Amino acid sequence: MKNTRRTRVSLVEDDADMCKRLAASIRGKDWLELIATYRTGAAALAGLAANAPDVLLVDLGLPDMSGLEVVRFTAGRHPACDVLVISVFGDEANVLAALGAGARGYLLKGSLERDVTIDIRDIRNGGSPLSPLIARQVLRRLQPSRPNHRQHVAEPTGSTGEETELSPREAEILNAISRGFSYAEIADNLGITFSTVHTHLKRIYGKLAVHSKTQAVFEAGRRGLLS
Amino acid sequence: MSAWSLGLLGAACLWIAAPTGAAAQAVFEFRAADFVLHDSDHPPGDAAGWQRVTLPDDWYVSRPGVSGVGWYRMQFELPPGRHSIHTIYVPRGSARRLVVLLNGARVGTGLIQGDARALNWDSPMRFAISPALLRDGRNVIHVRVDATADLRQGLATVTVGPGGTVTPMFFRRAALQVDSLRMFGGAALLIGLIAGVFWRRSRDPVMFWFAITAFAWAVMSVPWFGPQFGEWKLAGSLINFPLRFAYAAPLLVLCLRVGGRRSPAIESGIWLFTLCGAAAMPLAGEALQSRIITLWSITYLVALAALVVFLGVRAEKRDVSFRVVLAGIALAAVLNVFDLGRWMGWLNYDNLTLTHFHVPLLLFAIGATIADRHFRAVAAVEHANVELERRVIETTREIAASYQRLLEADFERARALERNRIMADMHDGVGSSLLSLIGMIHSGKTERAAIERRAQEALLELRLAVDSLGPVDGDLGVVLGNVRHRMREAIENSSARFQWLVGELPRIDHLTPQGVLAIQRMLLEAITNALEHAQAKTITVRTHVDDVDRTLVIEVIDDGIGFDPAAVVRGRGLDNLQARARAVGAVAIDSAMGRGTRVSLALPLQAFGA
Repeated sequence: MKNTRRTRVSLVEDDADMCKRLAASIRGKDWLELIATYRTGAAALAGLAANAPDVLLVDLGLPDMSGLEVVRFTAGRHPACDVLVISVFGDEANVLAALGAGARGYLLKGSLERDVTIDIRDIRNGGSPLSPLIARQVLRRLQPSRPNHRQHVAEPTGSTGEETELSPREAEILNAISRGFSYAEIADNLGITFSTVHTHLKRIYGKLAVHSKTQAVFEAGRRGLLS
Repeated sequence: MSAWSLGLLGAACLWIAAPTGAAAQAVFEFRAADFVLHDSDHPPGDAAGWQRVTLPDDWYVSRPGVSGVGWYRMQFELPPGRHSIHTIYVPRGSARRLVVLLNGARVGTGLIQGDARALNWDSPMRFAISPALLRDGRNVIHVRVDATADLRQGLATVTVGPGGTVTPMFFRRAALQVDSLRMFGGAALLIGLIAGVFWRRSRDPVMFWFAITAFAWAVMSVPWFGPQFGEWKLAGSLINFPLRFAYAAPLLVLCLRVGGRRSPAIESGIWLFTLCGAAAMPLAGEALQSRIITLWSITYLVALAALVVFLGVRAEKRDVSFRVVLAGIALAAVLNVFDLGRWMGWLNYDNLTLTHFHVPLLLFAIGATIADRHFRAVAAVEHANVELERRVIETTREIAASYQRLLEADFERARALERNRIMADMHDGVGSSLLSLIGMIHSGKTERAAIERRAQEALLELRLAVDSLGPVDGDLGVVLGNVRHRMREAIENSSARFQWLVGELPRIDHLTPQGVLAIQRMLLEAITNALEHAQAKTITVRTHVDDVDRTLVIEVIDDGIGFDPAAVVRGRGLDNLQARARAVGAVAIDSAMGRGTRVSLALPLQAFGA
């Protein structure tokens, strides 16, 4: 993290209290710079079109639209931007939808003891920690060897399949995450470095986003054929 | 349809009755002749005792009982000059043998003994006369007739004239009397064959009788296909009489069946009468044959009339096809009256024999009825099919609707269950945490940090409850992993070393959301206790499968200060721990002062009773 320039952060959050706390956390770190704060989805879309941050924090429950739309917009417009979703529960459904829309991770609302900047650091390294439940879902979606895996039966073949299929090592890492092991333990068990685990994670996030996109295109084609 | 048939027949009758008109000038129609009963091969002389008789001369009327040879003599004048070819025409030739001479020269022989045509439906005859035979002035025609009075033989009206005028008269008569019979015979054969094919498929008795009647008529008309069947002469005579009866019997039976009547007694009577008549005919002498024919004709007539009355009175369904059949039978009766009248000498001897017209008419009427029935049946089947289809669609819709209702009810029930569960969880978990929080705040004595910790616990409870809603498919590893993930901050903030020894675990298919939540809470409780109270250096979470008990064992072990399970006042923590674990498996707490604590949960690998 010894970057020559500071990491620029934008924030989309309607709750004033939460917003204030997050802003305070970010301003407390000299390697972070808060460049914009948006209170609505519309304002965020307008502001983000012109101003691309390095990291974007998005609350999913916005008053005027779903935070997912902001995630999708940003991921499409600024691929280099890391999007973090702010969630109360960090539950599977919401987080997977966010990851599919192009988010790189999530952070839990209400974690007072844990500094949000740790999550930002993690995401800059490769991706925020995956919960076991989500790791398991990602494994189910991207692992080709599972015979009862519905999506893969009708998966379009060719390069897209290779781009979204997990490597054995990636599957191994996801499997360990789903059983609750920490990244340090995984690195230890697999005999790799901590940063290699992060590199793998980054690749897994990328594959998940590609997979989501392919899946969307494939689904659209299938529906078009059926109608 | 019946009106149409009647109209056609009426037109035919008018045509026959129409005068030959325009060509009458050179044509001589003999309404009278000289006659002598004289068994010779040559015309008898003037002294033979010629007597004036009217033509036509039906021996049954003019000389009953006589059987033998008679001579007729007719004279006509021709103007001098070139004579064209002349033709002698006799509308019916009914005799055993008939020989025609002009001016003493033989010009032709009519029917001969054994020819079936000589006995039935007497065909017209014509004899061409070479102009060389004709004389200026007086010409004489002699006709030698070998006849039997009982069989209504004799001589019809004789016409002589130029061939161009008289020959068409012959052909017109032949068309009505002979060609029509041949035509009907051929048509009957065809209809019979088609009906037979239908019968083979449908096994409808009416169709069977229809085919039999048509065949009977076709066979009877065989002799009419001409004298070219030379060898048929005798055979024709032999089969003709029985068939004359034979066609009538199936026809009557058929009419009864079409009329919807099946009376074995009546049908037996018809067959018996027919068989007796048919058997007697070839054996009987001419006089007896005559009586049999008379009896048969009257009986048939009576039968037809009875049939008309019977069907007319008894019929339940008076639809169009029924009326057609009734009209056909009535017409048959009328035609038979006509022929019987001729037979009995009440009507002109020259009249056409009309009975045969009733057969095609009746066959047509009955055929139309059968076709009508068939198409009604087809329409009924089609209607039934449509109705059936409609009912199937309706039933399918009903089934789908009830299935939908069932699904909805199922869904409702599942939702109610889930709601109850979530309510219970809220009550036990978050609800009680919030209550204790409020209690802490009210007391005013609790520290801020403790309140905050309590609130964090409540949030954690809630998160675990949310997590338990997701599908885990019996994967206990992910359940354990999730607990660690949720406790990450607490574990990271603790000074104790944390060992996570969770291997690959077998699937536990009977794991319900409640079970998942119970296990998570138990682990949460155990790990929290170890973190907060045990002052442990190392906390270990490990799993193993007990093959003997068929259980999966989860253990939380610390090397902390421990406690005396017997001495310790059972607090909320321990009670909760045990209560929660009991829902899914067996829990054991093993601890002693200074020797650390081991909490273990044993989950059965298979559902109870499975």
